[in-house]
Amino acid sequence: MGFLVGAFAIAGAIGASIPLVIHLLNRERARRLVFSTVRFIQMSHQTNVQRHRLKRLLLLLMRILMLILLGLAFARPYFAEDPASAPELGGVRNAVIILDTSYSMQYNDVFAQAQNEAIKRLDSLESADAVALILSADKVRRILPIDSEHNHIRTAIENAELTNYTTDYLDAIQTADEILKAVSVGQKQIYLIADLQKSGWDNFLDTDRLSPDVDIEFVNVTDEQSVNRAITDINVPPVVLLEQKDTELVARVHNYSTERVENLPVSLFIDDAKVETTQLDIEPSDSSDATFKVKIDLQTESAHTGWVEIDSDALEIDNRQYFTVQSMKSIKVHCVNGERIRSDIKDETFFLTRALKDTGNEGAPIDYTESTKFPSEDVIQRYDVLILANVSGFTAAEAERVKSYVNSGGGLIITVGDQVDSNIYQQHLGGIDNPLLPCTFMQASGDAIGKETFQVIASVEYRHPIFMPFSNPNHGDFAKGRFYRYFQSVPTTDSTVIAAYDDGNPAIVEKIYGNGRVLCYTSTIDREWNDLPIHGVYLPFLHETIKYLALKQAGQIPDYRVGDGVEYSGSQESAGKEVAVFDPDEKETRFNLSEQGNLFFENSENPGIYSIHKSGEKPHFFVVNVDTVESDLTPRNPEELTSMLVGTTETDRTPTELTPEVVKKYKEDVESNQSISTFLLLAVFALAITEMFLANRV
Amino acid sequence: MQQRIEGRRFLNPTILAQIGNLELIAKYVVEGFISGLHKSPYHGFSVEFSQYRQYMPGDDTKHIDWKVYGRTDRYYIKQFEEETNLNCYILLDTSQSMAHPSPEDLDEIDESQQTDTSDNTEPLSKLRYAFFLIASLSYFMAKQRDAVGFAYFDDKVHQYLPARSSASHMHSILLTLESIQTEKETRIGEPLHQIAERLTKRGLVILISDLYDENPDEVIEGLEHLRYDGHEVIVFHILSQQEVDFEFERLIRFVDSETDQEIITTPQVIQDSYLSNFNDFINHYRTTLNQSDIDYNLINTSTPIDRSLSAYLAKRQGFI
Repeated sequence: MGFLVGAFAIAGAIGASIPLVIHLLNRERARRLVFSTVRFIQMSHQTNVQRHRLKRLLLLLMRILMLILLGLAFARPYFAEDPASAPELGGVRNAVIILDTSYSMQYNDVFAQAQNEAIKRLDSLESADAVALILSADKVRRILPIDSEHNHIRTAIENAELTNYTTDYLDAIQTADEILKAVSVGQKQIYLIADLQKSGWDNFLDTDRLSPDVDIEFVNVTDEQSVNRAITDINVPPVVLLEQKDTELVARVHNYSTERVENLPVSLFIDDAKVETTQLDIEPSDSSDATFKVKIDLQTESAHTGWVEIDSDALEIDNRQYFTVQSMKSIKVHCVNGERIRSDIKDETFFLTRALKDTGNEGAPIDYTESTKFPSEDVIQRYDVLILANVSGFTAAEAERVKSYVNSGGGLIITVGDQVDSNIYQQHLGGIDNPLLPCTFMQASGDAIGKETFQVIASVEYRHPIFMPFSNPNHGDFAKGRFYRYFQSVPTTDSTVIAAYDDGNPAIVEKIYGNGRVLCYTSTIDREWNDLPIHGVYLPFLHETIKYLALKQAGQIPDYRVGDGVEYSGSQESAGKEVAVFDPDEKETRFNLSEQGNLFFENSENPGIYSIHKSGEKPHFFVVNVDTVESDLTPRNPEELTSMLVGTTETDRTPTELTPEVVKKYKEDVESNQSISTFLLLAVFALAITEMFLANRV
Repeated sequence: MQQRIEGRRFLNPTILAQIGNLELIAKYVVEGFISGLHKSPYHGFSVEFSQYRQYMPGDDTKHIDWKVYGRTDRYYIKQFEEETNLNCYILLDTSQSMAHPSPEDLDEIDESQQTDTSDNTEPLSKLRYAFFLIASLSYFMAKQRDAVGFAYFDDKVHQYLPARSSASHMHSILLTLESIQTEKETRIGEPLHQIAERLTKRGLVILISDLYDENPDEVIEGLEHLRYDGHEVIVFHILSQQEVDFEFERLIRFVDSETDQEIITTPQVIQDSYLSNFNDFINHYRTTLNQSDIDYNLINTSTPIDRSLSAYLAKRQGFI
């Protein structure tokens, strides 16, 4: 115990002797009196005198106590350890509690445990200690600044809500470290209350180490043997055609436990109806694919939604993955043939026609038509994909028609050949201001007759939807095709080369134009300049390209994760119009589209199906799934983490400098928070009242 | 001679004058009628004829009036009314407790707390007060030619003077009072029995005591013994003002005058309780003695002696 103003304590002690001295000075010397008989005195003496003595003694003690307490109150006492050995030097212990709110904490009652542990850590702090709280998950983080008002922190802990985000411990720890850096003195402590899953530490760098005077305690609330299964991936064709019989949907399920899973039911739902259920056996720490080959009964040509789910386990949120699917009867493809030679293998579209027409049940159902002239304004809009195959040139009107067609969402493939006049192309479709052409044709290169030298497609962007099916080994090799001649070209700034020859020249260049896409193939579509048409990849390549362009919306389906911003592109005409977005809970939010007719939606906090409704149009669906990197609950060892983050040994830590100002402030803080003086003054007041009552009592 | 003078000082003229004012003056006025004031309730054969009664076997034949026999031929006994003076026996308790309060009791006691008398500022002890009372009574009785006897006792009877009506006898009583020393504890019961055995002639017995006998029932039995022997009994319960009001200030070490037992206490604190107990003690005697047809008179040393005598005389009206 210490005193801020010790002189008052001494004064109190001295003052306490005053009643005693008065008592002793005033103490009567009993005078002797011979009395006839003490019989009656004796009868009355015992109880009365004892009570009287007790009362006087009590009064004396109360008066002494009052003066002592008064002195103590003015001396401003406090209970604290010796500042030299006090860990909380500086008046406060500074703690930052990081509470993990990532979705892995939804496992059983782990989060409730974590809240309890956080409250315990809070309760272990003295009232003078300062504490901050970080509710941590990736992307969303709530921070309560460091303060000695613990009730706010307690309320925040009790009311903390779990998120659907992944874990990012390092960011939270760095934030905590920054908070503690701003504190000049006192012990600095971080409490990380989490399941400590490995995925949260993947991005650790040496620069993430804590400051030398910061300690960290890991409170692991996870189960030793956590069992979790999750759908980690889902492969749904971007489009389901109405006549397609066996649509293949694949869901990858991972077993994160150490025990084998048998007969795990996996169900497919489309448009809220269960379509099929299959069962899976999964080895420990392994994945298995559930394949659904179903004829999906889609009545109309429109967007549909669905999900695949597995049986429930302790962590529900990753048991379901959502998808959208576009249904379409068939893809309408029209080709403008620039080198028509009827019934000849040298016809520009000889191989193309055979690749796209009458493919039976294999591949995409394509409704293929062909002409040598540009389709009219009305007709062109009927097609999903327009192919300009070795077309020599076109008028300005035709060029505008094509631009309009692509801008409104059409897909365009431009293939070249010896008929192509690059100047006309450049003149009508090129230019500086938003050209339709993805690349500028320079000159044709190579000898298609001698065929002595050739190029191969050496670089393919396998992440592109067109090439994705070919990404696995033995799924088609583009390098087999020999390209004897091609147009050297320079891609425009806003286009993408998705395939290139081994000399670096672009083979296929893509450009988004308005709501449509343009693909430019810098060689012929027939065998005149290359032999790709006689290789196995030719047909699937064309089919994937057609599907990609035709089902551009489906093909564009991005893999939205919880928290991702969702960009919606409406038409120019819908600029400024109001749209309503419904989240998975059917909660409606209204927005106005931008001047370009776009919307950037940020509130994708929950996994599920979202829909954007615009008056006069069919709803646009998009889905948001959780990031299943969080599904692996395997924790890191706290000791390992401590050595990783703290690094330096205890002796290296910088002790807080013990200046007189620091000690004084520490004492004042402790005294102020304990408020013992107030209680002492109240006690003096109560004693004074009691003393008055007792002294006046006969 | 010196003793006589000493004895006479009890006859305080002021006291006597005051007594005279009330009753004794009447005695002086009707000097010759004084013996008539005390008519004996008992018939005798000495002085004055009262009546005739028919002879009955067993009567002394010398009292037969032969003249009446001569006239009536019947035996009549001649009865006379015995006109005798009152035999009064004064019994004084001389136990140690009667000697208080005295100036030696407390050296430092405030003047204001000392027991006061009308003309003397020194504390008047109960015994001294009793001396005044006895002297007054004796003088008064002697003037009436009543026989006055005197005995004093503590735990036993020390001296017994039989009842006589001579003036010299009164002087003997006064001299006896002068020689009294207080030493022992109060034990009233046994001495009363002893005195009762000695009193052969019925009369008036006056007990003057503070009645601080540890066994009040024995006191009452002794008094009842006297009452049963045919005596009229008057008790003067004599107490000091200190004992009655118990008004002291500050802390006092009380020492029992008889047992030397000591108690240190603050009188103000126990005053209520003391008075309650003390009144119970007084009331016990008053009630019990009244039931036994014994006159009980509470006398306070702070009240003038003439008032005490007046009260006595008033109570004795029925006797007269």
